[in-house]
Amino acid sequence: MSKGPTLRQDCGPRRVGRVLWSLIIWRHWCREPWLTLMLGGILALGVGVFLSVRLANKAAVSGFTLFTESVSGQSDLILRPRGGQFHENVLRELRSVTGRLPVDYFPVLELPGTPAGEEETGLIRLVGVDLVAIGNALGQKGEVSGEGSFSRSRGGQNLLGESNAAFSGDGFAKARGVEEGEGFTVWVRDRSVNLRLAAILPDPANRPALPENLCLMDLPALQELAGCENELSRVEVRFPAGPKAEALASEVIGRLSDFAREKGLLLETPEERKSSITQMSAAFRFNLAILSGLALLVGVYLILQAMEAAVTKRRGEIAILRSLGVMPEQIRRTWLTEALVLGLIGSLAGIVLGRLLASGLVGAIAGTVNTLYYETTTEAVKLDPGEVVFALLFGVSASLLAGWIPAREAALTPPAQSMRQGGQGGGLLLLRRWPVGCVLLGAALGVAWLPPLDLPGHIAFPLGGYLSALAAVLGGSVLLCRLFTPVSNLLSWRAEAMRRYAASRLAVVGGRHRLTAAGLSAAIGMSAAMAILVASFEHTLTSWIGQILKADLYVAAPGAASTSNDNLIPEADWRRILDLTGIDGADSLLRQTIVFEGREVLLGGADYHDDPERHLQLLWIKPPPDPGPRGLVEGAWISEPFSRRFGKGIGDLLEIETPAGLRQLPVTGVYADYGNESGTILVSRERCVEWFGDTGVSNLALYLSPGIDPEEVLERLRVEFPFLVARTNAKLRGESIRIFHQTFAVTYALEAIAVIIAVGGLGLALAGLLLERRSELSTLRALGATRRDIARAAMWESGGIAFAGLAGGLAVSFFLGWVLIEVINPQSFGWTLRYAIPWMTFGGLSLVTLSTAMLVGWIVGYRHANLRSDREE
Amino acid sequence: MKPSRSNLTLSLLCGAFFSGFVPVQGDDAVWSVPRAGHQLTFPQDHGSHPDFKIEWWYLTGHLFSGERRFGFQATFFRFGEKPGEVPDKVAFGTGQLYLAHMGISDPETGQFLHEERLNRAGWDAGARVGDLEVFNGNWRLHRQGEGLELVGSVRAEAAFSLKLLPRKGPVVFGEDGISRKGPEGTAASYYITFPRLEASGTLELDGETLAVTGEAWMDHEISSSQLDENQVGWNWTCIQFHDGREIMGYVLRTKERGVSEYSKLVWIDPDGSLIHVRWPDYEWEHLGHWESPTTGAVYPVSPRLTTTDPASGKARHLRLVPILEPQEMTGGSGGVSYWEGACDVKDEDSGEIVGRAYLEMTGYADDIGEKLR
Repeated sequence: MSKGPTLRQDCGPRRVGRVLWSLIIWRHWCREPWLTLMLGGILALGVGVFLSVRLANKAAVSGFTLFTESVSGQSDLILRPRGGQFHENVLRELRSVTGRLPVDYFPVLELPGTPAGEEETGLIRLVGVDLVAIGNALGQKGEVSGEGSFSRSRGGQNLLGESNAAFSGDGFAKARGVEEGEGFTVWVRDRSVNLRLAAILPDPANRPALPENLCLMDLPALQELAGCENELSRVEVRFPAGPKAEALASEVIGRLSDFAREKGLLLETPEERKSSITQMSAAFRFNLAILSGLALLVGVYLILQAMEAAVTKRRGEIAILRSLGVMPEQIRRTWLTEALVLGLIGSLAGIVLGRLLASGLVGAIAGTVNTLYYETTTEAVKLDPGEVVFALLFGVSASLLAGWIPAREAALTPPAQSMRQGGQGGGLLLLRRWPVGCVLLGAALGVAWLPPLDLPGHIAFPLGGYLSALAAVLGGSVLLCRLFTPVSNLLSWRAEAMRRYAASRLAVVGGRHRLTAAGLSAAIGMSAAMAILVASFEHTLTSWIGQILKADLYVAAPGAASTSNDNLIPEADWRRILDLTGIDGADSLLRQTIVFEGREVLLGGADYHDDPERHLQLLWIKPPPDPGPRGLVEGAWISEPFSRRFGKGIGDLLEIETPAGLRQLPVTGVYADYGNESGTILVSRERCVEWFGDTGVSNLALYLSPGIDPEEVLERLRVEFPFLVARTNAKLRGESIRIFHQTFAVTYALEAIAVIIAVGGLGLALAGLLLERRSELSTLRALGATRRDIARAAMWESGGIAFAGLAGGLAVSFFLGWVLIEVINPQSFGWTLRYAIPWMTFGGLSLVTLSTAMLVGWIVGYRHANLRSDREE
Repeated sequence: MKPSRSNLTLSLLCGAFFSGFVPVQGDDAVWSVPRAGHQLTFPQDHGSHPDFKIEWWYLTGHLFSGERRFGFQATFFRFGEKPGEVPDKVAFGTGQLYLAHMGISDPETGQFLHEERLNRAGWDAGARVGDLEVFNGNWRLHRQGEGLELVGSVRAEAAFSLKLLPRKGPVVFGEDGISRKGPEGTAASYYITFPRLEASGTLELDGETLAVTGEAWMDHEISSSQLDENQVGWNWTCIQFHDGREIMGYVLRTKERGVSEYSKLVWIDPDGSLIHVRWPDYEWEHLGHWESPTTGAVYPVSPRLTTTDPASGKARHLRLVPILEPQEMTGGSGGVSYWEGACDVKDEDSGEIVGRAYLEMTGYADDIGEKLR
């Protein structure tokens, strides 16, 4: 206080600011370095989690690249069939359509390959391109980075004549353990193919590294090996550079559009193609980002609480400064400066932490995206300046927001009141106004009914759902304060001295208690709500799987788990399977990716076992008049996500563009489908063959004759059809559940982080409280309380706060769970789930939170028991 | 005979994607070789000869539009991997490779635009057997009535479409119908040339479409031979005199900085008759140096040819003056750089411009002999 009088002598605002800074902020930071560090740490953790999810999300999907992006640069257009492959004759037609115009066409055949000896894992993207012509692309538009890529193969052999020469990036070779020049075996369609890694290609400069699952081959060699002579998957189109490039492009686009229309083909820009693929996972990634933002919300609570504690502790000094004539505005500015500095330091540390966390998360997110949507590979997490600025802004805003309320309070409280209140802070006023809590809960209920927001790229954003969740979390935090009295009563019931002491502290609960419990309740509320979502999902999925998985054996083409895969079992093979002894009948499904109203959906052609008792039973949302095999002859059944995505229902007419022309079908039923969120149209397989001409099937569900052992048939299938993936009913159920858990891998991690932040904050708050009560603790020690006694009291107090937070959090979670299941989930994904509460998880979460809180309380109490009463803050 | 072109083909392919693509000596494939006394028949022999390993159709010329002048080059190479024709229906053949180069020289703007392209036989490149029709992407050369039609482009920067009407020929170089290029019996080619083609058509450049007329030269050479080990490069030219005569001449440079005895110069009379001049009965002085900013190679872009004029019996000192110095083809898909450019021909005795020429120089940026071995 010795510097006080100087304020009057030199009242320049800068000088006052400097003095206030050193007096109020800097002195405390020096005295309590650990506390300051922890405060910065909480902020860093919040920013880090938020940033890491953003970065990991980006990296996980950026791995999806079209071939030319990886090897030869960007294509201008992509021409592809509406389903399956098309004949290579299209190339000559294209050249004749564009005549003298200087356009380059790069035909591509892309097939999934399964490494021999592995089951369904590590699918290889076998990409066949004309290895001679691709060099023409490398020399254009100044892109020479990949030049000579294929020339690394030495030895004087003619690679064009070598039909099994394969090329890959370094990642592929390392992941598969193949050296340059070595051979490896891959199943392509129904053939086992021996390939030789002719060369490892260097990673192209300024472009993503070659994906780990990408294996390049000469196009005719792949056609021959895979037995699909004359077939192509797509043709990538490139315009040359030059002053007339724009005019040329519009001329070419015009001619090719007419050609595509006439031939029933799809002409897209790579951006359209990419977005049509990645938009499927956009909702998932968006939700993840929001969840990570909620983790930061918990962090904001904790900072608020810590800043509030700092104001409280320095209340006496503030009162003196006010009485010495320092203006409230100057005091507020000093607090906000502290929040700003803390925010900056914490955010910077958070950026470093986020970058590290992202590397770990990216694998989990990519795994989920792979499982649910399409094959992707991760690329190195990139921290660009934009992300750094975003994270800094986010962290500093959160810190300023958290600092603003206590700063305002510190500045406005009259000096006399401040002196009178001494060390006990009033806490956040809002948290003492329980009617506000009721209003917030009411609002939460109200906004939950808002329809979703339609974002660009056909993303339905459940804004109402998120606002409702936020309001519920805040409302719950406010109402939570009403819980302290019953908790105090509960704690003092038949209690020994230290427990009674702890209960007494909770009875006269301060702002610090409220804020801590509020932070904990927010974290628990969100984690428990996620647990409800996962449990509901699992419950629904299990009964759905039980309903639809009734056959004895399942056979699929490799890669069938990925929804973007159009790999088929050739007709000759599936007919041979049906002829095996012991097989009574089968349901078969031909799956094609088609474009419906500009968006990609699945078209399923189903052919059911004719035994009315033994065929696929769908779970109906709106059943058709005839749910049996014949019901499909007249119309189409659509999945629930399709119905929500396109707003179609029973009686609506679907207009489907097929190679055979535009076809119309009425919707006769809506069924539940949790396997695919892009939506499915189910028609009879015959119709599908008529439209697309493909007689293969994607998968078969086999029903065995009575008394036949599924394992025996499975073994025979594996020997005779090693290129197919065959599983028993039990195995497929297990696999489905595994995929399901993989999907939620990221959310588990986020929940854990939120709870860790909250419990860490509890320890921090407790340390502050004990510091404030040092004279009280000295008295207790003087009365004979041991260090362990004080630790015990702190343990009970911590347990009491945690209990209040836990109770409030769990109560809120029931509502949050409802919002997730009934509002956010249907709006984002179009799935109906059955609400289920995971009591076991709740028990475990409560036990872990309470015991950790009590342990942290005990440790903090033990450490602070020896504080001297005269220790100055 | 024009060994330069076959050597160029080989070297370009050698530097292409598959280092082992060019068959090495001892290759088991059995290729046809030119036979002395063989009678070529036209138009059939303007078409492709897939039983021979190497073949090209090479056009160079000078175009005019009002006050503006341009040089152009359009070349189509075929390189055989397996003897025999690739069937029409095959989209991605492995038996033949097609390389093509296009170049436009514009002295007014100082631009030299060029592009190279390599494709396998199939849907986007090929050459017809039995008549002249070769294509590579959107580039195409084919017989149309008495003349030829050529369609070419350089990215989206330039495009041309020309009708070419022969004013002379075709002439066949060499003795007994074959052009010898080395001591080995197999080192020979069928060398067919249209030494003067009247050109007319359109040229699109810098977004402008110009009507052009001019004169062009076309070589068609068929062989299965390899480069001599002692050769490091060559300098070749075709001169079209204003008096209706032409010269085709070249010098093969050896490792010892000398000139191979198989170098030749041929005068073509207005009636198409040929007068052969053997080395060292003519001179080629390497003058006028231009250094490429891209490859660093230094080319003698303004050589002096000294030879006896068969009409007057007097010595002529002919200086080639390039219309533009930077006319270097810098690798691209072929990976080999060379200079190929339009020139004026100045008679140093009279000081007059007496004709126009195209000049080709190889082996200055790369050791082509080394690449071939």
